[in-house]
Amino acid sequence: MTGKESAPIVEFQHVTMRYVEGTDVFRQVSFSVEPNSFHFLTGTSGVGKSTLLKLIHLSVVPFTGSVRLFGRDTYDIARWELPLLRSRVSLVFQDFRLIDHINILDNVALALYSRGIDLKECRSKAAELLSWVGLENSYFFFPPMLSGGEQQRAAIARAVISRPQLLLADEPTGNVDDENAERIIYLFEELNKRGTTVIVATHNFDLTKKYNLPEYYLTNEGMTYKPAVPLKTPSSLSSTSRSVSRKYTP
Amino acid sequence: MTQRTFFNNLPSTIPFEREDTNRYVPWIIAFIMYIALLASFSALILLTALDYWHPGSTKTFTLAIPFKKTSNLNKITQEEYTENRINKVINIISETPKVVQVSLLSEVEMHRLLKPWFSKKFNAYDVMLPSFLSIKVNTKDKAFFSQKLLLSIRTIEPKATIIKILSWQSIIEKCALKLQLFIAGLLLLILLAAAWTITFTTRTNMLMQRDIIELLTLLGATDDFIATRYKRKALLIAFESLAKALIGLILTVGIVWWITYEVDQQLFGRIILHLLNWKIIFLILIPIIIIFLMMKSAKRCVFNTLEELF
Repeated sequence: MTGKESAPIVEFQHVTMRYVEGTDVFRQVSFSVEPNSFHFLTGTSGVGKSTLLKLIHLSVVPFTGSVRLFGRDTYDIARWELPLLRSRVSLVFQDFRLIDHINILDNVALALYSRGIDLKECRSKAAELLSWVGLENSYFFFPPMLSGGEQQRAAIARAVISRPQLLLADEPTGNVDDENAERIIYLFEELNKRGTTVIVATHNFDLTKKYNLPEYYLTNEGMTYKPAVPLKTPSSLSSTSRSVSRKYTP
Repeated sequence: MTQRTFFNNLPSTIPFEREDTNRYVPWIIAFIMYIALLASFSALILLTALDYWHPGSTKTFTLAIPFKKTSNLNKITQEEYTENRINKVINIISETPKVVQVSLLSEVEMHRLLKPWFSKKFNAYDVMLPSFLSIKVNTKDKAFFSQKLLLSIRTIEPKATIIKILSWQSIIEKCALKLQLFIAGLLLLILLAAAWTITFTTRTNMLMQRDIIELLTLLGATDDFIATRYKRKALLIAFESLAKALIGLILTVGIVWWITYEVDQQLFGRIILHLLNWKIIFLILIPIIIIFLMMKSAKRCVFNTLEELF
């Protein structure tokens, strides 16, 4: 069912996306993402970065071209197989999308619980992850009671609780200050070191310049690849980002 | 403002309580259940009442031999003449196979039964009444058997007839089948209404909570997981509605009891006691079927809507 381990996790071939008749979001996009890599997906606002992530997350299907996920063409994936594939891919939303009437602990636990795992185990794992992202004192807080940065970290905890092979982040730093942005990228780096492939979509070019990471630049006409340039290392991260607890060991 | 308790179950992922429409659904379903229970209860009462008023009617019928004056009063009295005629008829009946018992209704008993139908001044003994024979048979086809027997009796008593007692009951018996069909049709409509109501509510909620539903699917929740939330909600609504419907039914039965109490103090009580047999299962089955149908409808609606939306 899954593709070969050495094969790209994500592979786009001449993908054109169109929502409205005659208006292409982007055209002829081709690229591939290798396992255990960390990429930025950049481009100006409205160029279709979120749409591209949705294509990877199987929320939409391409107008033309082919999208392969874990070696499988997304056209061939049956509806009943979607939950299983989505358990291998997690998405961090720009607007966090936490459920307001459920506390943070249960919000994080929900990602596992919705897959039929025992609630006690889900909560235990959620507590562990919330500690990892520095929210060990906020288990029983409801999302509206947290700051943007805290909510984003909770959203990251929810995204990684199922130990996905691929983590997609859609403008994860869009609603947080620089300090929290650095903290979030640090968390992604930690995950990447533990074997998770990470794609971070952002239009914040200042942020991408700070890190020594390969970058896919999306335009309406296609995709260009910018390899990593060893200008800066993660050691340049602020002390704040380093204060994140390292208790979590997947 | 922190919630410091661990629930055994995750709090409802989908916020049903936030919708105004949900406030009325238990009342609508309660009304539907009430009508269903009342219709079933009425049907049971009718059937039980028919059994109660005429127990064993299927095996007994009454033969009337008209009064006939003797032409020879010098040799034989009128009583002896009548007795001879009756005895001849009883002999024919007794010799007929499948007749279990034949008995003559006594004059005293007959007058007792007739008394209420005449004025107080009228003396029932002055009337030249026919003789009535109660015949108990052991056959399934009572109508055919009685007509056959009547033909043999008419060889000696040409004016003998089979009395159609309680003709109003015969009419009710004929109507009972139609009434049962009507109630069955009504129950079917009620079940459809319950299914439709829960389908409409589920779909409305799913469209209103589209963001949360979408989030759940993106988190990898199966359709079954989402459907289970709605099935659970449907079950809660069903139980709440059932409680309301039962209160309504008890109140209605109480009122009917009070009304019938004025007519016959024990009538309704006896009918209720007769209901306490296997037929009561029918009454219990109605809410169970409605609850099952509601949960099935919710599940089907969730599956269809999810396929349509995502």
